[in-house]
Amino acid sequence: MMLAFAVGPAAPGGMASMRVAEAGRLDTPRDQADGGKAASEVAATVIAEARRGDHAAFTALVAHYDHRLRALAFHLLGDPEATRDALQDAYVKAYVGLPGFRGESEIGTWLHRIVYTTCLNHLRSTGRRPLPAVEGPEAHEGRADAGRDPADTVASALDLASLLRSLPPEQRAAVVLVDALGMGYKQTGEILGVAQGTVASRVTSARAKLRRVLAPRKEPAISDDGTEAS
Amino acid sequence: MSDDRDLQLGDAINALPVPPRDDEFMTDLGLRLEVADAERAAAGAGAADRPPRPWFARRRQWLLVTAAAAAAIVLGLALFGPGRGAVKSGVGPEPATAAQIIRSALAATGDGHSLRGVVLSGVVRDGRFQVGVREKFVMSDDGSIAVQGRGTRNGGGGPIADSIPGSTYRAVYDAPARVETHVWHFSRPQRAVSNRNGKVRHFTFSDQAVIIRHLAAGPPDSALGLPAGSPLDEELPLARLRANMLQLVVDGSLSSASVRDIVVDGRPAWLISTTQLAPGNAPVPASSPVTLVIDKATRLPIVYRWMSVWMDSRPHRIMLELRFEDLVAGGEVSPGTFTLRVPAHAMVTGGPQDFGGPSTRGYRVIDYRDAHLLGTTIGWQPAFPEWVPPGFRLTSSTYSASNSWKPAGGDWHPEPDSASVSLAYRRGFDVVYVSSSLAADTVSGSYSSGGNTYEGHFDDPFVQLYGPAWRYLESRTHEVRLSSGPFAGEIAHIVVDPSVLPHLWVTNGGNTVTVSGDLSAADMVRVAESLRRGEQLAAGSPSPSQ
Repeated sequence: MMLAFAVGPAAPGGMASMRVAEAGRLDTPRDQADGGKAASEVAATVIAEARRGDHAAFTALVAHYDHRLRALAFHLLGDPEATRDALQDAYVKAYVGLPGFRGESEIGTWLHRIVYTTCLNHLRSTGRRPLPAVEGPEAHEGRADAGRDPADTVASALDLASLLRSLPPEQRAAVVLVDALGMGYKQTGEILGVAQGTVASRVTSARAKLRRVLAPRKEPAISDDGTEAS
Repeated sequence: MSDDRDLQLGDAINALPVPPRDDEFMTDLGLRLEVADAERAAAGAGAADRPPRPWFARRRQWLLVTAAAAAAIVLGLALFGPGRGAVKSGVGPEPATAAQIIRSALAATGDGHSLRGVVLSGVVRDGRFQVGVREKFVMSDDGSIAVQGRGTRNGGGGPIADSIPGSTYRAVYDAPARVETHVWHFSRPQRAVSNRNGKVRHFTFSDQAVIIRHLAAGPPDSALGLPAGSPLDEELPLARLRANMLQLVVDGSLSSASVRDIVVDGRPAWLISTTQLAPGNAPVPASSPVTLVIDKATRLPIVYRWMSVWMDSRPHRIMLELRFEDLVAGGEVSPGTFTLRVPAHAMVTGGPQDFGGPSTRGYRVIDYRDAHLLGTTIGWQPAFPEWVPPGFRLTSSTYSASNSWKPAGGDWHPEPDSASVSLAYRRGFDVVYVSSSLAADTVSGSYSSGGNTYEGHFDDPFVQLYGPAWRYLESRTHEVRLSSGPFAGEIAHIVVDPSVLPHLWVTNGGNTVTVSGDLSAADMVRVAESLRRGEQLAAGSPSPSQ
């Protein structure tokens, strides 16, 4: 079967730099731009073939978005195997649900939402949600991180990846979708299943926490006369 | 300025490494799409193929609903499904003690004709639950089961999947049709797999699923089963949980239990901590800490944590845990639930020799109501119980005419194919097996592995273990001298521990009997003491239609 678009990952990296810079506004032009971009890249015939159960068309469809979906899943789950599992589950869900896809959102948005909800389910199922305060005899045994150099802990906390993982999943998803994947608040709201205002709130909170890490690590710019630039 | 910082942050996140898509990802996805196609076809065909439930079953269901609704009106209570936000606290009077809470949990898990949910099993390390296997399941009170599971990297708790992380399996047992079907999808190619005969075969799973299909002569009999690799063999951990909750209530372990109010995922729950009394006399472990978390609104279990001994050459204590999510009792079972279609490119295998799959193990269905016919057919007179707990009814009887007792290759696990008769009784989701065998000889010896030699005691016909595992099992064994029946005066050995299906075994030098399933130790003894042979069974024995 001939596919109507090139199969392969979306352009890696640089997405944030390429986007327009109206992130602080609701219903940004980015929403319109992304929606139009997705629609133009995925031919309706391919989606139609995938809806009818054509495996080649479906795998081509998900392959097109795979790089972005993989980034979202990995930043949510933080584990390569869990990411692989979640993506497999999400893609199967999408395949099963595709005949019922009504096209009320862009197909890419719909796929992102499936990946997002699947990752949340994985987080729940792997016990990463708060557990009941169950204390067994093992609680009295030495913890694995006992005796660890506090400096290591501080260094770890300064790491962006660690700090990103420390965010609540909802905030993590919001900042990844908006700042890393370059989506607008409207589209991100559709993916997360929340209002745009909620997206803005989550992104703001996440940015505030993450910038604490980035800012001190930024080397001060030095002007030609040797003084620190403003 | 603010936007520049957003861009900088976005670029920094994008610069973080993300694992690339591996070469097999799309191949695996293609297989799963085939499975999805097959399941969709099965679901569509199931509605047409599956015969409607008999009128009495439908009537029973209707009566249950009516009775429940009437009870709700009379008691002024509201009925709600579990695991939903609308659940209202107060299913029955508020329990005050640990025993009352656990009794209400037993009632809640036995309510209705179906039970579904997700069970997670694994180990607890550094206070954190590490999931070994995650299984979705649906049970019907006719004995049908469907499970869907996945192995994780953490291992611990699964039949096969714990050794093959990322592998998935689906298994269904259609009890009325007596058909069991498994679909395994292994995550790793070229995986060496050892079957029960000690042979090693290399399977290439990268481009095909493995189907283990089996037309059962009778329901798989856990009472005589060895660890067989089937996720259906032990009727799901929920059965063991129910049996152990029952034992906690009756054995006095709750006398020192503490009950705390906690909140789990925003839902009020009870946390019960106690120490299950050690019935045996061996030193490991002296007693077993048990923690149980029960949802206040639904009375359904959420967490069950207990201490066991790691079945390894160097024994050490380990905390194991079962966790249940989205348990729903009494929901409708959709057509096709217990039917599994084979994906187009799957490799179909024949049975246990191919990968520890389900097997008849030589068992055949027999009409047990005619004891003389049974005795004539199998050439000896087994013993049958005159008493089983109220509500249980005989749902199947099977026999095996084979009379050998052989070690199975290098594994030294004797095959349970001695001449045996096995009866299965059901009461909702509770199952009791009573099995009689001609083989009374115990098997002892040594087992060598990796330069170590372990003394083995294989005299428990239910679970053949060696080394530390056997010592642990012995520590959980309670001995009672039976006072009546063909085994009067003999010592009955009783094991009630979450690690195995609760069971009793007794031998008199000529026959061995096991009683196993969802019973307290006292009830197992009572069943064993009610055993009768031949003509004696006819009058007082529970009939298949009871």
